[in-house]
Amino acid sequence: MPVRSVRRRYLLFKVSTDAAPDEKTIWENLRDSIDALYGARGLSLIDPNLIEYNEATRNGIVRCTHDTERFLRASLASIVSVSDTPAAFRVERASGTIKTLRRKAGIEKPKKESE
Amino acid sequence: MRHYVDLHLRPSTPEQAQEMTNLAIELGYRHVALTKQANGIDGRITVATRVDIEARKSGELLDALKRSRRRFTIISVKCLTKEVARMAAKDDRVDLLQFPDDPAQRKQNWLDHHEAALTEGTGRAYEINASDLLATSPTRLAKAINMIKRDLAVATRHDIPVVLSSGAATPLAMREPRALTALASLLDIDEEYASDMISTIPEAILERNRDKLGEGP
Repeated sequence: MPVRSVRRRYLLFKVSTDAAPDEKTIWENLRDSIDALYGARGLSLIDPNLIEYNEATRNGIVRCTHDTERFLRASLASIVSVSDTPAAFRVERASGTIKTLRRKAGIEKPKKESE
Repeated sequence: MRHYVDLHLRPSTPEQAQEMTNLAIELGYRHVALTKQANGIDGRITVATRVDIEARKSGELLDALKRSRRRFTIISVKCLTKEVARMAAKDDRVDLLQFPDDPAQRKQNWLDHHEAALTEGTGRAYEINASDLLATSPTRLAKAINMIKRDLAVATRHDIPVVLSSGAATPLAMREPRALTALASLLDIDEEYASDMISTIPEAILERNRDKLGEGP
């Protein structure tokens, strides 16, 4: 049976802002925040990946490596503006699997455009 | 189970105070201290009153303490000068010591061993505001981290309790408790102690003062 070599953590966050940021903007802000706090080495260790971002609900799921959850939380907390508008990123839930995170948060898996 | 506490919310109006208190409930806080009184608070959170005293002379500090001690549950002194820092460190009416976040003001003013010796064993705490770690350029953030770490080293050596507060002036500056403990990682504070800094330590200060002032929980 194949074994996953790297353990992950999935964080569900909500963005509070008057702006209407898209997924790309959210990702750029997150990446820049990690880079500002921890640099390129931190980016490689945290290995962040924005799994999804819902512009309507302003909820998103971001993935990191298991040992670096605290760093990712600090990076999310450090974001104070998006598109030059004051903003706050707040983590609502965290889980070891995306399936559990979605189940606990009561959010459905986004359907692909072709479906 | 931990009860999370944010001892430093700085709303500008009573309406904003209420909004921030409601948000604090959503974020999982059990106790907050506000510099403005809020109306219509429900039973899920206890709200304490707080005053931030900013003084440059010890006489000004003493006058402010005399006026404030019976009126506020939490008294914090922002030590703008060495003279005030020394006086605040030895006055039993003070609960929290904080230092300016401006690097220029901090050059001559930090928690030194003399003040720490005066504070040691009194229950007074050193306060870190998470807001000092937000909204800054990388250069300024690096300076803030170094300044706070220098103070923390002295506080640790003298066994002075440390409180971590948000220092939020708006709802958008408020963060959930685990975000604050995560930000403490920038100061090389381990997660367990960081959790104490936003729960057991400030809660003990609140309880002690409520007993002294004869306030209910």
